[in-house]
Amino acid sequence: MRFCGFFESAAGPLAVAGETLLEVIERPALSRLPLAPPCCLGVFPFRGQLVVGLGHDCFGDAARGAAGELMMICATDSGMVGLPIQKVVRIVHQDGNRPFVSEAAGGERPRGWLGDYPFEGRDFALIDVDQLLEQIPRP
Amino acid sequence: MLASGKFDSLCSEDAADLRVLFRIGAVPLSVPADVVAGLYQVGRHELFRSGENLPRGCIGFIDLATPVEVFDVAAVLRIEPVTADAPVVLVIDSPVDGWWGLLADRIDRVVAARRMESWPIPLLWQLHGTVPFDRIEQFDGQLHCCCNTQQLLAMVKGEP
Repeated sequence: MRFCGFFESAAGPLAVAGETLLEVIERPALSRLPLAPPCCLGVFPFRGQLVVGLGHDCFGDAARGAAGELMMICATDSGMVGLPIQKVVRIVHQDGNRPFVSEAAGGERPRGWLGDYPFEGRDFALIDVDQLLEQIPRP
Repeated sequence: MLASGKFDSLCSEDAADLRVLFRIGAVPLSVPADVVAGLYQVGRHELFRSGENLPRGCIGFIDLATPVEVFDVAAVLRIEPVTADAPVVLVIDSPVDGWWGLLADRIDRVVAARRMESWPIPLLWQLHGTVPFDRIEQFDGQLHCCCNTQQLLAMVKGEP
């Protein structure tokens, strides 16, 4: 059974596939460490691993609003990362593949954007977190 | 001198299993005790030398049996520099470079590594550049980057 999470974020409505999404928590205290990558606010221990907490600038130019007080913990090829979100809209089970529109209606697309996912009358930007991380500019 | 590097003679732990916790500014760092030849507190006026032909990153010397070059690593770590009036020099014993000094604001303590929770450096860190740390370790609620002293010195000197 697959599922998908729908959220409000600084980059607008976001959708993340369930196999990436681990948990949503209140934004924890982050430890800033030297030579942190761009967009990284710090790290924190979580369930035996170290999670890299990202700032809302990880979404790129699409980030216009506040970061929010929640953090979405995701499993990626680069380890566990936390993305800032404002609100959990819904986490739903999916039956089969939902079609999505590949062209955005307008405005900036967040990094890692795969397409728009219509849900409850709104378009949520479906993002691939691994691609988001790859698209963060190197210093 | 604050302490010699023979930490394993001071307790039952092997020096390789001990960590010297120190700070540069507000940033907590650590090194394995088995690379530390000694800890020295110096006056800033004794240490900082300008107008001399110093190696890159070297800010002065301390006089031991031979002069030991002291390096300020804050710039390569992109953190606030050492500001203590009486900073501490960790004399590092390197099999490649011999003795060299790492400038710090203060030494916090020496702890057994088994008392620290430990993680590898996040892969995301390493994808964005050279990271002169071997581990991230937590003690008393604080995360410390455990320095790879050989890599750190190479970065300070601008070596590949």
